[in-house]
Amino acid sequence: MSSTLCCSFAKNVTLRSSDGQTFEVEEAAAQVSQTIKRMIEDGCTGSVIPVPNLTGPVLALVIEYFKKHSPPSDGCPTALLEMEIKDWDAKFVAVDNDTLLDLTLAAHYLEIQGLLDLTCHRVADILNDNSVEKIREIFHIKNDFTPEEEAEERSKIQWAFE
Amino acid sequence: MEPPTKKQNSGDDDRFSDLPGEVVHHILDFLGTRDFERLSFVSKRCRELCISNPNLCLSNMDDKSGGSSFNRFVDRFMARRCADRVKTGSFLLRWSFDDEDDEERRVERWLKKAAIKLGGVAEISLKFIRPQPQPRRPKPKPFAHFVFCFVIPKVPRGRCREWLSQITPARSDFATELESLQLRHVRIENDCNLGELLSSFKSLKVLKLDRISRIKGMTITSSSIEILSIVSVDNHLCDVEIQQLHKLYDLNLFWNPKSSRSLSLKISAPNLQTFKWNLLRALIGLHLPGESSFYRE
Repeated sequence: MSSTLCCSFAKNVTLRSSDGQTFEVEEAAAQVSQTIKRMIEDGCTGSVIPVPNLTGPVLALVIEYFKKHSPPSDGCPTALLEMEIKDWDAKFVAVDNDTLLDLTLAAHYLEIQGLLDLTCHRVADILNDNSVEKIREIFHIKNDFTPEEEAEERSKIQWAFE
Repeated sequence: MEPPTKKQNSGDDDRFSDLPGEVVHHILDFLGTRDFERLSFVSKRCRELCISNPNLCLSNMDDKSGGSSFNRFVDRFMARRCADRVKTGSFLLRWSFDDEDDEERRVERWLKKAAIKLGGVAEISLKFIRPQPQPRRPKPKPFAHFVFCFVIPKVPRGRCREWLSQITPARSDFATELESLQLRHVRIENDCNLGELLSSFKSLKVLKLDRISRIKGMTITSSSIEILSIVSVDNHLCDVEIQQLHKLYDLNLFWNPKSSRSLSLKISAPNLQTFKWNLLRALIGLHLPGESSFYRE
């Protein structure tokens, strides 16, 4: 009985990605994003909420994050649940670098602090683990130092290139 | 809103360099100093992003292998920040000093660059340690010109010991925008005029002196301080004057003087609302009316 009651109260919103895909998600879950929260508060719920900065596949991932991080309907989160979410988070950002940067930008545009921390930390881990040349390779960053500048930098910090 | 991000791109685009500056700065918050240094050599854009980061966090404590080349990197880095007029929001400096003679001067220069040249820092946190002095240098040289020095009594590897620090009056233009200052585990030499130093921080609102030692007396007069906390761990401190702190509303004193006869405490703070003190191991919580108070015991 109580579950049907609960369902009738769970309002949904529809989000539309830049490429026109639509996704339905519980309003409470979508409010993990401060940007969407503001839009809902401003009365955008009646129609579809456009999310022009995100493509369908990225929005689908973000909605997965919403669902996992929506406030629990039954009381406080337990320590066990928090641990499970942490595990889930770690797996969530174990993706290829393009997707990781997509998620980082999505978290920035949609103001999802938890996801922004998570993705930025993951990017930082990648930067930590690699040499200058490897970083350039991973993120396709063009080395725009002149050969002279490069040689000079190299002599200054040989260790960083190893 | 920004234009839509491109659909799954070809995979060869440099998307990292296109990230908004504040996102990259957030990433930098998770980087160690050495990784940060390495990133600044990846490309010009990366170097720019490193230099423009408002929140500075520099440390050589975890990895000393860079040695003097790392010092030179920080020299250049701070000079570039100055040239680009980057405003520093917060500055966390954790530094372990080795025997290099000019290292103290260097660190002093960095602090001045961050704090003076760029119009002030809202938040400074410093942790300095000095390795156990070599036998040939029996007494560690105290900083003569640092405005404040921190001592961490326990550090990894047990190589370091509490280290003498000396506070000298600051130049009047030092850190005029500093709002909050916490000194922890600081041994303050008696010839240092702490009051004069503090009165040069014109915007200081919160002052916490936590576990300070050695100092015998202090006079604090600052019209901007709102919250003041003094916790002294040894029994040297016996004379405290808090004068004309018009904005002070929260005062916390904890100290353990040698004898009650020589003890003197004067407070003049018309807007004080909360006053907690713990003296001679007796905890008394007092709420004073909004008028000047004077105590002598």
